[in-house]
Amino acid sequence: MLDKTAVFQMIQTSLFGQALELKSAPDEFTINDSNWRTKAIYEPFLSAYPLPKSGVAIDVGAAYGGFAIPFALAYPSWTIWCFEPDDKAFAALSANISDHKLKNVIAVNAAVGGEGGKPSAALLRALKAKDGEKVKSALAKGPFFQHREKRGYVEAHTPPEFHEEFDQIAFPAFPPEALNELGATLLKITAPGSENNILAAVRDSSIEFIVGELWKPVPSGLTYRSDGVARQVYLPLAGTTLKLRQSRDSLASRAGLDVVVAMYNTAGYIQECIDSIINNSAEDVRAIVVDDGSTDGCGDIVKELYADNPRVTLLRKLNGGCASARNYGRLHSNATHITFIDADDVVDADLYPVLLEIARYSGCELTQGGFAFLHEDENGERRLEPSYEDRDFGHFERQHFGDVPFFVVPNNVLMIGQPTIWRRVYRRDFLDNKKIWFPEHIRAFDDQIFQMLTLLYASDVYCTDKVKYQYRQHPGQDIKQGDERFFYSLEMFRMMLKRGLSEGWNDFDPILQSYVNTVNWIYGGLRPELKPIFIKGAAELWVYMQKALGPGPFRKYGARVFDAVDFAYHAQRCADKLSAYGDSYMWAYLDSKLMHVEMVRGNK
Amino acid sequence: MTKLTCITTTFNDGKALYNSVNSILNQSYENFQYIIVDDGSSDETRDIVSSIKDERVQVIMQANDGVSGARNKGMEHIAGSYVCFLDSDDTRPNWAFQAMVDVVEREDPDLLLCRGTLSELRGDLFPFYDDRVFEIIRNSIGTQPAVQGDPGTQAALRLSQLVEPQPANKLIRTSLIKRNRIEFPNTHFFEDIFFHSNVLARAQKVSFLHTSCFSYFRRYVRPQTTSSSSDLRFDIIPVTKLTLETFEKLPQFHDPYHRAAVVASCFKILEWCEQSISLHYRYHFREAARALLTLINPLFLHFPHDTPDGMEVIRSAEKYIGGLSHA
Repeated sequence: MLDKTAVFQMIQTSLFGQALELKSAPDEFTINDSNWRTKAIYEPFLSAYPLPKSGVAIDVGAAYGGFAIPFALAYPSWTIWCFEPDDKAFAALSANISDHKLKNVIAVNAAVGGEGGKPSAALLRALKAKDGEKVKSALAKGPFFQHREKRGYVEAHTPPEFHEEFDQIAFPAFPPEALNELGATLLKITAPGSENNILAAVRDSSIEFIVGELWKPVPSGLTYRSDGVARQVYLPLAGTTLKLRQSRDSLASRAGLDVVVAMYNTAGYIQECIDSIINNSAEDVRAIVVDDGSTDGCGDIVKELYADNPRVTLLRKLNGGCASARNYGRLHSNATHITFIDADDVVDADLYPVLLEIARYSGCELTQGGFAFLHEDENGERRLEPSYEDRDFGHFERQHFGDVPFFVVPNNVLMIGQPTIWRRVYRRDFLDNKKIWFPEHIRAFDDQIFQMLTLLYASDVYCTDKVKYQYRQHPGQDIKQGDERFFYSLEMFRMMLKRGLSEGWNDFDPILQSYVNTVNWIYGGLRPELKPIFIKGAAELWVYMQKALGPGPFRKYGARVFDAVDFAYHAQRCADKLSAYGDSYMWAYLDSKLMHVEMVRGNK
Repeated sequence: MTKLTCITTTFNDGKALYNSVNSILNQSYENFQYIIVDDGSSDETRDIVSSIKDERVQVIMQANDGVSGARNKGMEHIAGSYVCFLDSDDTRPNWAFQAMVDVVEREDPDLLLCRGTLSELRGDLFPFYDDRVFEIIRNSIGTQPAVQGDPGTQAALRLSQLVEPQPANKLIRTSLIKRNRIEFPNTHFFEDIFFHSNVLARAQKVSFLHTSCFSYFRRYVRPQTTSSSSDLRFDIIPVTKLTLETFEKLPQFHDPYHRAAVVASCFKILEWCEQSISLHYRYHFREAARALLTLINPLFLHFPHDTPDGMEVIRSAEKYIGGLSHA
């Protein structure tokens, strides 16, 4: 029924190629809000993701029709169902439909939400008749909160501390389940507090496009169909930089996270490790356990315990080292996101679900959790030793994602930290695009090159320390052996130098800085008899780097940046031999047996 | 009723091609010819192209000859009175053709430039890179067209040289192309700046559409050819030379602001290429760029002293060129 006495405010708008005039209730809040959303969300979304020629759209929270009216004009072969509970806004919507003589808009003066449940027979009849009035009269009323001044702002749930600003009001409540009866392809949603219910109700509907705004984080899984077919989703989270986004362009056939467990002879730890990965309700987080030719029967343990668990896959291969096991798991992944865990480590039950949520709301190339050192003595007594980050990262400004605080740590800070590639969730398409793999012939410390490359290519990294990875400490860990494997580091830096030259990097300083730190750190931990030849090899590579990159990047590094006293001597000797030759990228291709571990071992 | 032609070239795009093709076939404005040039694909793309059932589609196959050659081949068959392009990994919203035709039928321009949407690597959507240029143009002339010789709209006309040299953002009168024999520079990448500068300098009347009519995607799943560090980046040097050599014969050459805008838009890409090309090639790239300065008309190196609003890029070009010549 048109309210002939209603007072409207006229709005000029331009959307979807339609310049038009619309009526609204005189409510600046709703008008500004709606204008902002059309420009920042709806038009870019429909510009990037064109719709089929015809279809059915649903507009939940239609207000005066800021979205629906231009949509109905630009998409004449579409039908759009509008739901708007507020009487004044609905009067404006009805007037706009009539002004523009639209036959493809069905307006229902109701909220979507409330008790929900199966649609009644009367409601189904009204839907079939496509009659907004009849739909309304088939609905029961449900409680909502309407803002006293911003009348366009209707919420399903309002925290008690805000109740003074709101009137509790009963609106006809359209059960979210009944949205499935509309055969819709597009859902536009502006429904504070009802998002969860609505998205859960239409999870397996025919809807392919979801656009709108969220007022609280909803579990991202609700926007994914349970059969895994991808949708196009774009839902900014109000008041944050986050947006829930999902793309049909992904080549990954599974939306979710694969946790690659590189396992070699860890029978005593593997069950706890796997249980910690799946000890949550996040069905889209799965484990790919790669048995890297173990001899202690840990593969059989996994087979026995998890054969019936769809979240755990066991792969077996000939022994090839940790890098090969991680790559092997990744090659078998079809998921959008991937992470790596060592088979003797443990994670907080929420680590992966939380990181996957942040990844899906941010689109980040990598997202990071916290970590702690896990100590266990002979009696099985455990102690978690906090990492240096608890002390050093406190000052980064915290933002909030629901009740999860997150912050951004500059990539160069992360890069010079301890290699901790395992507490990060990566976009698999990012790793593939940048061709970042664990170099398989590097049998120790291969984390370092992976860490440097991922952080060099990624833009900002969203971190949280609310959930942690527990990094088990052993007396026999690689790092503590002080053997020839440290020489792998030299080769990795030479690989990075060649890559950077070929890709045209403009800043090698992170590499040089890291080289200095690494050489000094290795020199401190290396067995005494290996120290002289290591320093000789390190000095040779440093000279090649200088001749490949020219003197510029090295000016800030004096002769004394290396702890080893004979470093400068070796570097000078090497440089003297080459002094007749000019700088050239060719020098990055020179090599030394001191950059190859087996040659060091076999040819002392 | 205005008939449009849209040209898409494809090379081994596979299923990704559906996004752009469907975005054309589902346009609400239906009176168009759609030319798809398969530039020698060697994969499923060939089957995908030949399976498109729509009488408005015409398919041309050629042995791989590069995107410029493929677009030129498509341009030989334009049947519409206006033509536009859409790359195989971009899309147009359903309203694009209707919105463009509305302007064309109202204003009868030689060229229509429209805004776009940028989908970034993380899937965030933004106005396209040249949003600010469009904003300045709108503030300067409203929604009127800019006309050569009309003092009130000259500034906007020059500024439009600084709109991104994207083929998707323009609808061009077919006769303008035919009469002036405008083509893409065969065998070269970075072809867009040549085409853009040439079309713009020939257009007597340019209209602007402030609605997003295309989307450009940066994706991890599909790396852009032009984002590599390989030797294809050398191509910007000949393309700059061809662009300036062509422009120098046109009347706008004598407008120091328009001239500076052309130089600036070429050298902006050139500088980016220098910063991106493999370090193995960088010395030679710079040498070639310096040689280029001696080959072009010296007037191109004279920049106006003032900086009109929106033309800040001429200052960065001046600085870059200064650095090249004093090296």
